[in-house]
Amino acid sequence: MSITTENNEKMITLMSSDGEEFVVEEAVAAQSQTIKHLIEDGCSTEGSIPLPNVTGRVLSEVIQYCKKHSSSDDKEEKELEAWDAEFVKAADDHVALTDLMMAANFLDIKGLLDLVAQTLANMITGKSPEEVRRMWNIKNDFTPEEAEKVRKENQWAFE
Amino acid sequence: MASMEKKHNKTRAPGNRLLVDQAKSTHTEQPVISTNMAAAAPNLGYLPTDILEEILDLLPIESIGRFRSVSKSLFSLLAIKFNLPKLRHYPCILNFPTSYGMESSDDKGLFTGVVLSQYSGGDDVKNQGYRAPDELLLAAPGQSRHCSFLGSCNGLVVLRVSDLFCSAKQEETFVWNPFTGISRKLPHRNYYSYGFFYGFGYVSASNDYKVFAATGPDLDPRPEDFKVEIFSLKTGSWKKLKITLGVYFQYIQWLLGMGLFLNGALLWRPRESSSWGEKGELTIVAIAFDLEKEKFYLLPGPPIQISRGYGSRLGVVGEYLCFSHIDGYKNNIWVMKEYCDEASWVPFISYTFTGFTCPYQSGDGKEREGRVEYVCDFIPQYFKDGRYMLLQFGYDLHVLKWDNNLEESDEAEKYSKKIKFGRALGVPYAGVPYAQTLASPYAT
Repeated sequence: MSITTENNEKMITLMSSDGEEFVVEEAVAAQSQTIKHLIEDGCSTEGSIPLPNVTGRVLSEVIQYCKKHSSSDDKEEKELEAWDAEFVKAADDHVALTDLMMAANFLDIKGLLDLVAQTLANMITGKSPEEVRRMWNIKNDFTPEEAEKVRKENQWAFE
Repeated sequence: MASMEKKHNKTRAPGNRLLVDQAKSTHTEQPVISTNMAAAAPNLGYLPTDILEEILDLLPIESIGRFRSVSKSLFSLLAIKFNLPKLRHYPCILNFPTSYGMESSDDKGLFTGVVLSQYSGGDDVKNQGYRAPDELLLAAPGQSRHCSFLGSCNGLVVLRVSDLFCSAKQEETFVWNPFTGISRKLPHRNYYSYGFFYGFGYVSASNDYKVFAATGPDLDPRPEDFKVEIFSLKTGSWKKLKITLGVYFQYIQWLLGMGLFLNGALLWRPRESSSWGEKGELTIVAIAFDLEKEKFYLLPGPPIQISRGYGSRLGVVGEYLCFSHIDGYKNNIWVMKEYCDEASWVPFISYTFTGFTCPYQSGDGKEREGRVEYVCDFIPQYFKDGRYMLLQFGYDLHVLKWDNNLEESDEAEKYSKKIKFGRALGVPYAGVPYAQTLASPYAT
C-alpha cells in the first residue's frame, strides 16, 4: 500500500510475522536494503510488505533505529553514537540482541548489524565455553575424552 | 592464495548472499527468528551460522581458542574460519631470542613477535613473547646449535635446529604454531647439503601445508645433483620428487634461502646474472615452485634495464608480488597487479637512500639518528593492509609506512614523499612475517 502524506513523503506499510502493521516513511524503511529492493521491484504497491521473519516487537525496534538514522546527518555523529549505545542497552539481554541481529541480517541493515554484533561480541569475549553454551542453548556434544583433548590443546586460551 | 586472501579481506558479505540463505532457512524446520530457545537446533543452538560468524569475527583470538570447547559444530566452524590469518589479526614479525639462535640464558627460547599494525610511529609497538616448544629447547641445549626459519605461512612457522655446519643426523625440523604453542617434529630429510633452498606454504586444493627442501652441491653443480623433497603435513612424510630441471637449471643453480609464499607457490629471486638478458633487459623476476602441481615455472619481470646499483628483492605488498631493485642510490619498487601477467607490472613507489636521516635504536638500546648513506636492504613483506613495509638499517628493522593504497598508485615519484620512517624496532633481520591463527601443525 502506498500512501503519500501531506509533506509528500511516501509511506509504506510493513507487516510483521505476527500480523502487526507498521506505517513508515519510505526513506526510513529503505535503510533496509532488503526492503529497498522490494520497493524497487514494485512489491510495495500492492498492500503491505510482509516480513515473515521478524516479529512485531523486533520490527518496532528496528524501525526505531532506522528512523533515528535516517533523520541524522554526519554532523551529529557523536550524538548518534550515544543514541546507539542507549539503544543496545535498552535491548538488554543477549536473547533480545540476537533477535535484533537476525532481523538486521535479514533486512540487511549494515549499521544495525555491526552495532549489535559488536555489542554481542563485547558481551561474550570473556565468557567461558559453558556460559556461551547456556546463552544460545548450544549442546556440548563432545565426548569427555574429546573435550579433554580440545581443552588441552587450547589451554593457552584459558590462562 | 589470492582468492583466499580476498575472501578474508571482505568486511562482511553484502546483503544478497545472506538474503538467499535466510530465505532458504525460512522454509526449513526451525524458525529463523525466534525467542523460543526450546526450538534450538542441536549443535549451534538457535543461531544461524552467518550470524554467529559476524560475532566471531569481532572476538580476540583468545576467546576463539576458548570457544573451540563449546561444541563440535563450533569447533569445525572455527577450524575453517580461523586457520587462516585474517585482516583483523595484526601481522607481526616473529623473531629469534637472539640474533643467532638459542644461546641466551635469560630469555631462553623466547621468541618475540612484533605486532606491526599497532605500530603508529609512537611507542606502542606491541611485543609478544612466544616460548619455544620444549622439544626444540631439548634439541638445542648447547651453545653450538643454530636455529633458523625455513618458512612461515598462516601462523605456522618451520624451524630448523642444526649445528652451524649441519650434518644430517643432528638436524631437527619443527612445524610450530607459536600462538597455540603446538609443535610437531618432522622426520629427517633424505638429502643434506650446504646449498639449500627451502620454503613453506599452503595448498588450498588439498587444504594441506607443504615444506619444500632442495639441495645441491655448492661447486660446479650438474642438473642431476639437485634433489627436491616435499613434506606434506597431511601425509606426514617426505616425498622425493623426480624433476627434470631443463631450462630451470640455470636459475636454480645458485639459489639459497627461503622462498616467498604467494599464490600457492614459493618464489625465489634467482642470481642477478641469470635474470638479465643480452641487452640489459630484465628477463625473469622469479623462479616459482607450484606447491600443488609440484612444478617449477618462471615469472616475467617489469620492463626495466639492468640497474647501476646492485641487489634486488621480491616481496609481497597487499596480495601482489612486488620487486624492488636498486638503481644507483634509488630503490624502485614495482608491483605485478595480475599474477603472471608481464604487462601488469606497474611502478609502485621509489625513494632515494641518501639525503634523509632515520631514527634508530642502536645495540645499546639508545635512540640515535642515523644518516642513510649506504644502501639499505629493503624487505618488502606481507602486509595485507598494504601500508607497511620493512627496511633494514644496520641491525634494525624499520617500518616503512605510506598513506595511499595500491589501487591509486600508478606513478612512482608521487608516493615517495609520503614515506615516513618510524622508530626502529630493534630487532635483527632474522625474522619472518607471521600472523596469529589457530592453524595446526597436523593440518587438521
